[in-house]
Amino acid sequence: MSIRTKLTITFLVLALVPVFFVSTVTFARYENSFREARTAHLRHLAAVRAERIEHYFLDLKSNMTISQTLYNIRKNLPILSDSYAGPFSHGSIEAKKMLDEQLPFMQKAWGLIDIELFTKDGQWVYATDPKDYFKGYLKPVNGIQEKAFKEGKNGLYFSDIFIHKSRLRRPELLISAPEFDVHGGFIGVIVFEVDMRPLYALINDVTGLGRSGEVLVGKKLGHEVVFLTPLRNASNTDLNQKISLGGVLGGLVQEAVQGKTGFGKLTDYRGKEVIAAWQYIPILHWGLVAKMDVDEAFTDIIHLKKLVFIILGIILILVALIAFVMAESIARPIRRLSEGAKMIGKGKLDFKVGMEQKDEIGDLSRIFDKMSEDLKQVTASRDDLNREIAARKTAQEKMERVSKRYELLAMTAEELLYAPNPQKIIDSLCHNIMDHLDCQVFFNFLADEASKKLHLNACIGIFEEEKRSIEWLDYGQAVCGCVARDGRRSVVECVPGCDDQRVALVKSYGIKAYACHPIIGDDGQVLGALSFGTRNRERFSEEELSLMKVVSEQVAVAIMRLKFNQALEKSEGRLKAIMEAVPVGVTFSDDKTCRHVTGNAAALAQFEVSGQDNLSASSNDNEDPGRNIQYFKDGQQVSADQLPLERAVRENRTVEPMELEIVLKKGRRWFAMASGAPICDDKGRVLGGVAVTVDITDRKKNEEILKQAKEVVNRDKEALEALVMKSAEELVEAQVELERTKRLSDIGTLAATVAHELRNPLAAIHMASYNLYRKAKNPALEKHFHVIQNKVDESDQIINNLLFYSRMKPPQRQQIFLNDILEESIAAARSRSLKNKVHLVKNYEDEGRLLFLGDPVQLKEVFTNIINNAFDAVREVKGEVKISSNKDGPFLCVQVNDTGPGIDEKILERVFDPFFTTKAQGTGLGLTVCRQIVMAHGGKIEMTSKKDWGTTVTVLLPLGFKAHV
Amino acid sequence: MFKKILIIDDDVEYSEELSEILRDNGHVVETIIFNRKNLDQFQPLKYDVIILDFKMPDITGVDILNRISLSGPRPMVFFISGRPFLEKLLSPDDLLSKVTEIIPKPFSIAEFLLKIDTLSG
Repeated sequence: MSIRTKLTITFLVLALVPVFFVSTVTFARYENSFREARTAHLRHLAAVRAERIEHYFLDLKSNMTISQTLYNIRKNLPILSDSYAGPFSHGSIEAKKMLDEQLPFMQKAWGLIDIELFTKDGQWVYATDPKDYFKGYLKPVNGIQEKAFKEGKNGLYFSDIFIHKSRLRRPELLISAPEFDVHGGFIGVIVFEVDMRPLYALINDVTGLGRSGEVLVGKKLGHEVVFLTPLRNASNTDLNQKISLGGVLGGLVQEAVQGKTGFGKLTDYRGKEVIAAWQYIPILHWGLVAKMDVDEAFTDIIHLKKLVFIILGIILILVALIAFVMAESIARPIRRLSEGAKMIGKGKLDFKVGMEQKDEIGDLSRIFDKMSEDLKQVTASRDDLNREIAARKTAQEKMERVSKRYELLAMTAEELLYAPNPQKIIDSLCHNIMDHLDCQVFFNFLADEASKKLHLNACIGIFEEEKRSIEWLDYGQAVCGCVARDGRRSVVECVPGCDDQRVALVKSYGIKAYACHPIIGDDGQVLGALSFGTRNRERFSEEELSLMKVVSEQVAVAIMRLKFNQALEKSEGRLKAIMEAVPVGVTFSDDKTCRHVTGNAAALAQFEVSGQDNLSASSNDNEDPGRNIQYFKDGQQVSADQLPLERAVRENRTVEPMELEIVLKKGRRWFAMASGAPICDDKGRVLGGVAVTVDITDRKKNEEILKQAKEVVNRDKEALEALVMKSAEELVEAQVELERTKRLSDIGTLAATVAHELRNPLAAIHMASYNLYRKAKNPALEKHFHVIQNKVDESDQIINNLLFYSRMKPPQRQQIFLNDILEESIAAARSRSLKNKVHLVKNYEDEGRLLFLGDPVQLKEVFTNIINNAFDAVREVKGEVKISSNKDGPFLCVQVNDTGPGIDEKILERVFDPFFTTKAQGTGLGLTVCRQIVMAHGGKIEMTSKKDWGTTVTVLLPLGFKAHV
Repeated sequence: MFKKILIIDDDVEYSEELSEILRDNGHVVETIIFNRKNLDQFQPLKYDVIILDFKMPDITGVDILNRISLSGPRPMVFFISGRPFLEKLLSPDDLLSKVTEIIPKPFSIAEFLLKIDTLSG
């Protein structure tokens, strides 16, 4: 049984038992009290009705008593009954008259139908009802009246209730009593005819008795009970229905008429179960029963019972529902947790219970989730560990293999390095490697440069005779020949099944797998080939092949080493010869401390020491003859560690030539130009040093004389002037530098690119024209060739200017005549616009043709640009261009004026900016370069313009530069 | 004595003109345009003189220079280019020391022929 069912049942039992208990008790109590209330109500009803009936009849009885003693009747009844005089006799009429005066009133007052009087013999003599009168006067009565008379003679008598046939079928009752005269003698009987309807109305009033309740009255008659009232529930509405005493039916009435009073639940006359109260009315000997059907009386209870059951049912359903929900709310997380545990058991660690509940079960689920998360991490790290262990194992195995290989290689490498010649290198190597590789055959060929063939250097595994037959191999012959020719590895597997001609030789030795590696020097040259063959297998593994490759590389290194050694010996010999031959002194040291210094023959002679002497200057040994040499520089003694050799070694850099005055041990004094350089290994570490000393004693003397003479002449004036000029120049250069940096980034890249792109075709043009001229061998072409050469040079100069603009080379100044430059510029501009006839006005001031110190090509560039612009300006308008030059104080002034359309003021501000142009063709650099050049000359350029009047460009060049700049 | 000369320049016309001049002066001349793919075929030791341009389709003269080993025998290298300020591009000292002379384009043919004849590697 699941926990949910258990919880549901528990909740149901807990909730329903008290409900059942309480409702049962409450219901039982209510049912009892209800039953008692019903019964009490009926008893009360029965008692009240019985009392009413009794009162009614007691009233009738007392009325009857009054009428018995009435004088009028006592007097007149004997008269009416006495003499058979007839009704119309005087006495009778008188008597009747008297009676009529009193009795009808009594009849009306007491609610009676009729009051009748009978004689003592039972003859009718009087009735208040006039219809009855005379009809039966003095006639003996019969039927019910007869019985009433007979009984009434003896005393008060109540007749049975009967239905009067003539009087509207009313239920009626007769009361009779005797009449006596004043002497007490019996004179007749008086009878009241009573209407029973009011009484019936009283009895049959069913108010408070529901649909089935009724009140009934019965009377015992012999062994029967007669119902005196109509029965509400009977189909027959006749009076006087009867039931027999002691019968099954009508138990209630039977009780009542037998004089009993009580209440209870019994069966009524219909045989139906009722509750009832019954009462005996002694005066009439009647039994009265008030009853109600049990069905109806307890309808409320039955309804209540139904209601209670419905409520109980609803409670049951509700409680069951709540119990189920509560049980589910507890059982569901537990089920989910158990499911989670199952999932985790299966290894699905990603499972999450994931409940948001805030109670203990929620906490449990979160703890569970955390636990599974932890478990997952632990599992993951364990997996990683396993993987890593496996990877490490593999790596270790690999490492062992590699280590074994390296051991082998190290051994062979060692042997290779110490072996004195190639033959022995290969021999020692092959034994080790072949064992390792399980190879039986091995060949080694080396390239022979003289014969351009391959020579068999070493081999194992074939007979001597065969060896001889393959002693020399051409490139491309057999496998080894091909490998040496191509410089590529060649591996032949499954040799027996191979038909290639090149493999035939190898095949004939019974080799099944064969690998040949080239031996390649570090300059890429093929030195030979190294091959291995096995008779046991048909394949080599990658590892084996790579081992072979490494071995062949080692062999290559060893061979290269040998070659280098030979070359080194050769160059050493050459160096020695040079050293001895050169006329300058060379000293060198092989140690960093410079304690042992040797020199060539010239050095030994310069320092006056013999070949065995040490030339070291820093030696502290007083006995050493070399240290008694003294060195001076600019008159100051120089310590040993400041000499070129020592400095070069210490600072590890070349020491620039320096002048030294040297005083030898024996007193000779001479001047030397000495420089030094360190000797370094390939990593730049100092191994030693070398110094070169040149005897400059003679030159020094000459210089000294010249210098003294010059000083005397130029001391004052020149020095001052040079100083002024220098500072002026520096000022200009600073200004130019400032301007240049502003333009540099703009122009630099462009200029460099243009320069390269233009210079290449220029070079080609140059070459082509050279060849053209050379081949034509025609002197007439010489002129044209020179034009091309000049123009190429000129173009080159223009490019130079462009570069100069961006890189700021100072002008290459020389003496020029400005007017000549202007003429050249005009010619250049004219050649450019030959078709346009421009009216040109020149106004040159011809004072010394305006001699000026400047760069002619640069300045020509400036004026060509400016004049070109002026020509362009007047092209459309047929204007005039005016060029003037003059000396203006410290400046040369050149003005170019045109009458063109002029330049807009806004544009005028920007004309000198780089790459600014209004022309369709143009780089926008012309005026920029102009300004740059003029400023480099320390000058100024200005442009003024007026719309529709023209433009003027003014160039001012300072005259202040001297020729020596 | 004739020299084996290699001209490396992407300007075909220029190369042809120059090689013609050099051949007529008795030298053996080869012209090759190198790029990234065939750079491996460059064997500097085959030549006495190499005339080198700077800018080529997808490599530069510096790439070629890097192929020339500084140790051992090596050819004379004339760096001839229209590009200005080449010295700066060769600023690593070992590059500059591989170059015999830097000559800007255009240059005097007669002078250049004299240099090849007199300088020896």
